[in-house]
Amino acid sequence: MSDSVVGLKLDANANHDESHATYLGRACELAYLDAKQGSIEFRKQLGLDAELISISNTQAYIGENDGAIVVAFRGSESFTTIDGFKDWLLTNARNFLILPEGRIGTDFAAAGVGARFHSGFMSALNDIWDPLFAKVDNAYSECERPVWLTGHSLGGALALLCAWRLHQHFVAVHQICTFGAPMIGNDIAAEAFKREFPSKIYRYVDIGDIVPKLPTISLFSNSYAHCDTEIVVGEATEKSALNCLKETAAQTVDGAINSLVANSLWSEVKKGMPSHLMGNYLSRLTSKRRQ
Amino acid sequence: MFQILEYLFFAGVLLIALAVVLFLVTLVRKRFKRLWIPSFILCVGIVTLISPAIYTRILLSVDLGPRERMVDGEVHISLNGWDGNSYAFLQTRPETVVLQMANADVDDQALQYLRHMKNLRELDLNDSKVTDQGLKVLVELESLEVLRLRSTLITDQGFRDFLMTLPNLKNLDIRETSVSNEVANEWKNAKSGRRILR
Repeated sequence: MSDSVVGLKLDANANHDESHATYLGRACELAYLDAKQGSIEFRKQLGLDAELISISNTQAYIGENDGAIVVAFRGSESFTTIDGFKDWLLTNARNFLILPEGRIGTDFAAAGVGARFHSGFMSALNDIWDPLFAKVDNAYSECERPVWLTGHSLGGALALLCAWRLHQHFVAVHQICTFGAPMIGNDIAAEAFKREFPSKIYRYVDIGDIVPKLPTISLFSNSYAHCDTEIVVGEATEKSALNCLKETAAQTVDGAINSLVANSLWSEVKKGMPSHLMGNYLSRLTSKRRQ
Repeated sequence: MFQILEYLFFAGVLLIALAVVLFLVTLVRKRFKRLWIPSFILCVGIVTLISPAIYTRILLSVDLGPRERMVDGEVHISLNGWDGNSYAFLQTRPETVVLQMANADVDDQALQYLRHMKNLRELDLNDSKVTDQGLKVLVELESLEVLRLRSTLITDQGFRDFLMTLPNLKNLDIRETSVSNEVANEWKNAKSGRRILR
């Protein structure tokens, strides 16, 4: 986090561009900090009075200033910690498509009675909803300002679902910007999001990042779909792990995977992991702006 | 239901692991005539493992409503994108509190079925063919707090005649309608706490 980014601004009158993405991307990165440090950095780097709301495995910073309300959701904790594993188990792994019961169910049934959503993401949103909505609602009632939602990875999925529910409660959402976020629901759900948020959703996807391709490969799951608008970052010429797999299949017509091919495949997979990290998305954006 | 599927999946994993162990044990002891036991367990394991996927992807069809639920003692009915076509059954649900019927086939005629819903608090008519004439029915629904009319044919006239006076109306969705900002602001500023999506 260099000092050169101090003074980032959000301009609600401008169309979506990299300056929005850089600001919100920075918010996503800061969302991984603890409550005390986060508040300091949000103030220093983004000019926002921010507070962390943390309920069980779901965390979000809600920041505000005179011109904006920004909600930044934290992604999964590192998979290597106990908390991270719990996080993964409770949210990412339980990827059945459902329409929940209760008030949250009515809110999301508005997307269509056939719309289905990721059950883990849904319960994560439900956990944090009451305190989160109370705070956003309060800030919005004091002064109606543009509301920006953002999140990295799992946080991006939560930002999208949160936006839907805010609209159901008449808090107008200005823009949703996600980085490396997985899919949240079926095709009916994706279609409803497109209708509800025309040119307000921007999903940043690194070409080497595999998370946005999830959870299609799960054994449990039904079919998932993405909502608009996808923005691909990273070099198009770069080989993604998926492309590399296809090439590998072509190279092995003689029936044997030689060690050379196996090594190149493994190095692509290894490259694919860091491309999911928030830091990678931010550096991609910086290099895109320089061009 | 989904929990059962999850257990089935993990049971499949365990069965396959058991089969592999038994295979090795049988081979080491050279009791080749007994190989059918691990083979059988392996087959059962594989079937168990893939059964959740078969169920959710092939057998499970999505329920297309009508979706009727009791939420905190209130009746919520969702018909958005359902596969039915007659809204007449709504006459028999006067106790409805939340009603979602944001469908293209909803017109002023369909709104007549809502006449007796004295408890109706939230009504979703987005993307429907409702006009100013249809709003006339809403005047009698005094509990109405939330009304969605995105992309309908309502005008300033209908807004003034029928919505302005609704006593409890707090939230309005009038995106993609011809209602002017002037009229909308007049309504919004008349009472604090009112919100508009536009």
